[in-house]
Amino acid sequence: MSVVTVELLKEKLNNGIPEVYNVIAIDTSAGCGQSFEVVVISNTFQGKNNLARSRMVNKILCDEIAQIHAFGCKCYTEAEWSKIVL
Amino acid sequence: MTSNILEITDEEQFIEVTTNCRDNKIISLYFYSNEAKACQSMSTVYCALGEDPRFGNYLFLSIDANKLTSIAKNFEIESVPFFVFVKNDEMIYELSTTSPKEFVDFLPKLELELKVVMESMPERENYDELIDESDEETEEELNERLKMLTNAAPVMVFLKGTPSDPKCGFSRQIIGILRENNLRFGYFDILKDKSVRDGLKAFSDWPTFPQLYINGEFQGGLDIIKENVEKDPGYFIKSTK
Repeated sequence: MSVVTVELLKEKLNNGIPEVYNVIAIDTSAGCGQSFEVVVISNTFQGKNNLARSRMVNKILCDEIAQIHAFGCKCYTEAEWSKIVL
Repeated sequence: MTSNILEITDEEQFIEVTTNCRDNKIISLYFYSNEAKACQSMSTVYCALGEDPRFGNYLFLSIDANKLTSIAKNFEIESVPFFVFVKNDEMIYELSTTSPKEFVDFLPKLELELKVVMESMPERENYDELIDESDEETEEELNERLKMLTNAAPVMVFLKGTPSDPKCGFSRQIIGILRENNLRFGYFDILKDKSVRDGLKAFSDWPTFPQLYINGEFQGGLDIIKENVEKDPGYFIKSTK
C-alpha cells in the first residue's frame, strides 16, 4: 500500500470526481502523515446534500482513509465556493 | 438467594413486591389465564426464566388476569398472554405475543435499550455488558446488533472513548456540539468493541468516527454535523422530531 500524501489525494480526486473545478488537500498532521483535510469543488455536487457529497469522496479515497487516523472533507459547488472565497 | 419468579396472589402482595423491588431491576408482569390455550406453553417457559442466569436483571411476576381483575384492569389488559414491563415505578413497555420465543428474545433487547438510553447517568456503569465478546457472532447477528444500537436512543453517537473522556479530538468536538444544543443522547464507545467498530463502517457506509444517528438514521460525521448546524441552527430541532 502506498503512503498517503497530499499529491496522491489530489490526483485521485481530480480523476475520480466529475466536473471537478478544484481540489485542495492539506496535511494537518504536523508531520506524521496521519491526518488530512480536503476541499473539493465541483458542480457535480449540485442538488446533493452534504452526506451524499462526502460519500462520493469517501468512496474514491476509501483505501487512503482506511490508512490514516483523521480525515476531514468539505464539498462545494462552484457557486457555493465563490461565496466563501470572496 | 431469592427467586426471580413469583406468582401474585393478591393486590396487597403485588404492591409490596413491586415497590420493594430493587431499583435497577426490570419487572416483567405476565398476565395469563388458565383458560387461554395460548398461555399454556408461555407459562411453562415463563416459569423457567426465574432460574435463567441470563435474565438476572429481571423480576418475573405472573398474574392471573381472571382472578386479579383489579390489577388487570389497572393495566388495561384486554387479551392474554400480555406482558407489561415496569422499571422504577414506570411502565416502560408492553408486549402482546403468543410466542414464548418472541418473548424470550425480547428480554435482552429491552435490557440493552434501557442501558444505552441512560447515557446521562454515571458512565461506564454496567457498560461493558453491552459488549459482545463472543467470537461466534455471525454477520447477521452483528447487523442485528448494529441496528439495535443505532436505534437505541433517538440521538445516538458512536465515538472513540466516552463523553467525559473522549479519546480523539473529533469525538470531543461532536460531544461539544450535542451538549451546546442541549441534546440528550446515547453513546457507544467503539474502542471497546472491535466488531462494532469495523461493522459500523460498512453499516453506515462511512469510514470514520464519530458517527451520529438520529431516529435510527445515519446523519454523518463531525464535518457534516458542523455544516448542518451552521447552515440551519434549527437542524437538531427538526431532525430529532
